[in-house]
Amino acid sequence: MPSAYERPVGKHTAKQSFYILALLSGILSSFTVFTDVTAMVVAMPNEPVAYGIITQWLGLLASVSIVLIVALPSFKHRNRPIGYFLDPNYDKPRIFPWRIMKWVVASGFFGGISTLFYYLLASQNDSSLVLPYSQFVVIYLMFADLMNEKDFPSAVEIQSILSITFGVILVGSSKGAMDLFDLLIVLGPLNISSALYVIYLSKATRMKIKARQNVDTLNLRIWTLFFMNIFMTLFSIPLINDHVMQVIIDKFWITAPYSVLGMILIFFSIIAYTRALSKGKMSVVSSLASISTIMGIPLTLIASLIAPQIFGPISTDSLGWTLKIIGTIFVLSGIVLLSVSEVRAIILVRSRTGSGDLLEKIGKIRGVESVAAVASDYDYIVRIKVRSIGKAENLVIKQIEKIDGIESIYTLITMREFV
Amino acid sequence: MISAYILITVELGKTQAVLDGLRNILQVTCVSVTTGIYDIIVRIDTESLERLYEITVNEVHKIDGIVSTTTAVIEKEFKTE
Repeated sequence: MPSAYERPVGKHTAKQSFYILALLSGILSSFTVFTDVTAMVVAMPNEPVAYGIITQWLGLLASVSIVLIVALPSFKHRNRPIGYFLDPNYDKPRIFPWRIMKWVVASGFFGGISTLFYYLLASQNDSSLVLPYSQFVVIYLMFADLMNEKDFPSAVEIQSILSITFGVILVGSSKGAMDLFDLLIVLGPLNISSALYVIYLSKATRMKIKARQNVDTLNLRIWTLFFMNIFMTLFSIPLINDHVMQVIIDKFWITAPYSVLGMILIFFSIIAYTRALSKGKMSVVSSLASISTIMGIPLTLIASLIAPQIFGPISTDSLGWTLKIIGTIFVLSGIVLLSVSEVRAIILVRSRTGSGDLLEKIGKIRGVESVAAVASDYDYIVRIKVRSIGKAENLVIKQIEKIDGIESIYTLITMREFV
Repeated sequence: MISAYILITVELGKTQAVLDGLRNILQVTCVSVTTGIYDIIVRIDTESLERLYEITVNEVHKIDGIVSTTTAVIEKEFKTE
């Protein structure tokens, strides 16, 4: 079995793969508008709890099947499972040790709460109303990133994230107003629990199974979904009565195809999302993934053309379209702004003899990704990642120069990086 | 397990060829193309010093377009997260 470190470096630069993954996750999830709306309208109107339970558990079944299927060796490379192409860290289905599993359980707990709230709200409102407001989670994630001193968002990031979030909300508000009480539930409990879900998920992605093997996103997804479903079902017990049970039994086979199809899309969307999460800041990944709202516009349009009885007629409200267009511009400009502002550099450091161990001193500087003490012409090799060359100069290089015992440094700005 | 950085100077105009060559080495985990006193910085993760020697001598040094290399073996590493 090839281990994670024995694989060729990718064809895309590190930055390209981060943006591709985050945007792909949003695009994939936007397609679920077809399955979700159809299922809610055709199969079970006004039965959010029943629909939620069927969808989530069938989703787990579908996800586990995918993870088992992709454990088979691929045709081209016999020694690699197919799942390698979804996530190079994947080798086989596995149970994580408790030090990783505790984050998965925590993530599942909050994921369960937010999922239940989502199904409850989506039944009373149009689900396309709830989704844009649930993107408000990005603001909470930004605060979480702010509190994490090593991952402090820069002014450019805050500006682009706000631009994306407000753009998404503008697009959302073009569809009409949401009940104030429901809106508060979305902004409060729903978004806070989904922020905590992302925070713990992100913690789990940064764990290692063995010294050189990172947690893979495929196994991570099935375990998070498993605990999410358990908690969601537990919390919805007070809402389950004979009627709900009856609906589950009666409508199971009508709902199943939509649920499975939707959850397969979600599975691949989450894999992309989680892989991006392991590479970058939570707020950046989530705001890139909110491209789903923009994708939702043409998709709903197509859906309305094909099946107006389900998706409703095409809107001719000019105010609505103005808001949609302004919102789209905000979102796209935010994404472009984020992607053009990222600088990586490698700094070679020589220290004076007898200066002792500077490893931790350098490592604690903000913006430093990693620092290695090496045996060579140089003593330390430092990798940094910042939002602008100016910031690299001020925040990082000057801080390194200030450390007592450093003799000279060479800065190499990275133009392209492949991992 | 042994990790090392290899600092590489590349012949003018051969950067892409060197990149393609490096990509074929399985133990290479990260390749950065940089400005400054070196052109490409490569990170290698492998089992032992011996294996590292084999990879640098038999694989890296044989890539056409590489002018010189400096290998820096990592003794200790500090990573955020």
